[in-house]
Amino acid sequence: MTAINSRTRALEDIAAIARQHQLSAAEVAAAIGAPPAATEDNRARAVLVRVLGFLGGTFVFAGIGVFIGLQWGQMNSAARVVVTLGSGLATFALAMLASREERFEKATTPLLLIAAVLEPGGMLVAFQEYGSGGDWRLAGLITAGAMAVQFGATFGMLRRSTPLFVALVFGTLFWWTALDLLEVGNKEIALVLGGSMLLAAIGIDRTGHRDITPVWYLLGASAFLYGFFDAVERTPFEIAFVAAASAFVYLSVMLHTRTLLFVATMAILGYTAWFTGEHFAQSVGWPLSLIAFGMFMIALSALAFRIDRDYVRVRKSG
Amino acid sequence: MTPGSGRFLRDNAFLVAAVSLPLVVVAFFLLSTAIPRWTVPPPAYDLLLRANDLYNYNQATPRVRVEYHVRDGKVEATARAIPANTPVTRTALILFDHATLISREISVDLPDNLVEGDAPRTIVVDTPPGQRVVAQARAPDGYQLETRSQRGPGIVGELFGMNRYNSDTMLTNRGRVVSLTLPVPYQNQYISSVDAVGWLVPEAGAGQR
Repeated sequence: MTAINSRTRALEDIAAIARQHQLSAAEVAAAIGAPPAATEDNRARAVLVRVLGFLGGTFVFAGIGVFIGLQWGQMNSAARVVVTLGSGLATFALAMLASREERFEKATTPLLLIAAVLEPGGMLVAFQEYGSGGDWRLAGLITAGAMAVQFGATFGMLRRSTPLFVALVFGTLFWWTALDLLEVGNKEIALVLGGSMLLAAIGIDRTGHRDITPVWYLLGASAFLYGFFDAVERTPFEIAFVAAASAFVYLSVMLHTRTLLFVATMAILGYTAWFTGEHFAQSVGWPLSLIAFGMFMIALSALAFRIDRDYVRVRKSG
Repeated sequence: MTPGSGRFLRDNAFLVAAVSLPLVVVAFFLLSTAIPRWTVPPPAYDLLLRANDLYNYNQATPRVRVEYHVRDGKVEATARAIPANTPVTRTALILFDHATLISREISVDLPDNLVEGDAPRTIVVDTPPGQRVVAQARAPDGYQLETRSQRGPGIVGELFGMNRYNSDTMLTNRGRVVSLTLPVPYQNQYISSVDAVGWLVPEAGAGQR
């Protein structure tokens, strides 16, 4: 009876979707009758080919890197810049060309990532070879800024997640260096950049590029909570850290992100461990403190699991 | 603001906030650095500094250890012979000129014939006419010498292996910072330690330069 009900419901769903997208019965039937895109055997072969391709590419890249490293001492300044920055720019140009050709489209992402490593390295080599001293952080600021602008413009053109991710990386490095140059303290930098990364992740989550956001939730929340703990540690406002971490649990439910839930849970656990060691290890005794902490850890893990199951995952799929 | 840009801001409010947050903090810190430049006057006194070249392998350097100290408004250099098998460190006397913001080494005629067991020899260093040296940390106008070491290459430099650590020698006063560029090789704190000997102030009755 249940099986019949679920089949009926499934057919109703299919009919609703077909009506919504104005699909004819013939089109739906043709799509259902078509052979599956890839059999299990084909899929396994494709994965193997891809893995071997990545491995081969990595070996070639590493070999070129080692070769350059061995020859580095014999190269003059121009050769050093050409071999690093030149290669980076050439790789970037190849990525742009690959993105236009359907055949090479899959090469775009690795080429962009290689360019994202070679170009800033090359720019810093140029600063090292042709610079006349001064503060290295200025060279870092210019490099990060140029890379953020370049990959930001690339994202504007290609609308792919990879250049957006790289632009965010260099944007964060740019602001980090700028704040460092202004002699801003580490905890303030962590607070500001953590907050900025979180806001960027929330903003990107609302676009079609949400695949890249877990990393930014992880880095942003970790940096923010690190900075916050550093700011309130051993002050009357220390308990505010637990409030902040709890707020992140709430935020994780609102935004349906497990990464944020993970960071917030880890932050509460970490704070509890720190607090137990700081205040109870001497009075209650370390073994008893460990037992209490372990029980709290089990309870919190269960709670986090339940929040994920009942709120984050359900609403995500709903 | 056009309706299009307003809509863009509304649609991308979080991204705009993500960029604005560090921008506001940078603007705040830039302002807090700029305000002392407008409100605090530049240094008004010359400074005498003592700098050690800890890795001096020049064979021509006299085997003497020099100590600079202030007595009766003058700088005195006390030279002692360095025992055999002890590395030679060269100590220089450097003058920071507040008018030009340039630092230069002052040559001191050190004895090169001292041998182990000789009594220390004291040489009085000439000071500009009408000026005396005061051995106090803070100048009459409030400036004092500060050294900040461990200034690394920044996060980008660290990530790309540009591991270079420098140090800054500066004069600070109520938030205003005046960087000193010392002569080579005293710019790097890792091979050179720098500290103040005294400030050059006008003698009583003489006008300030």
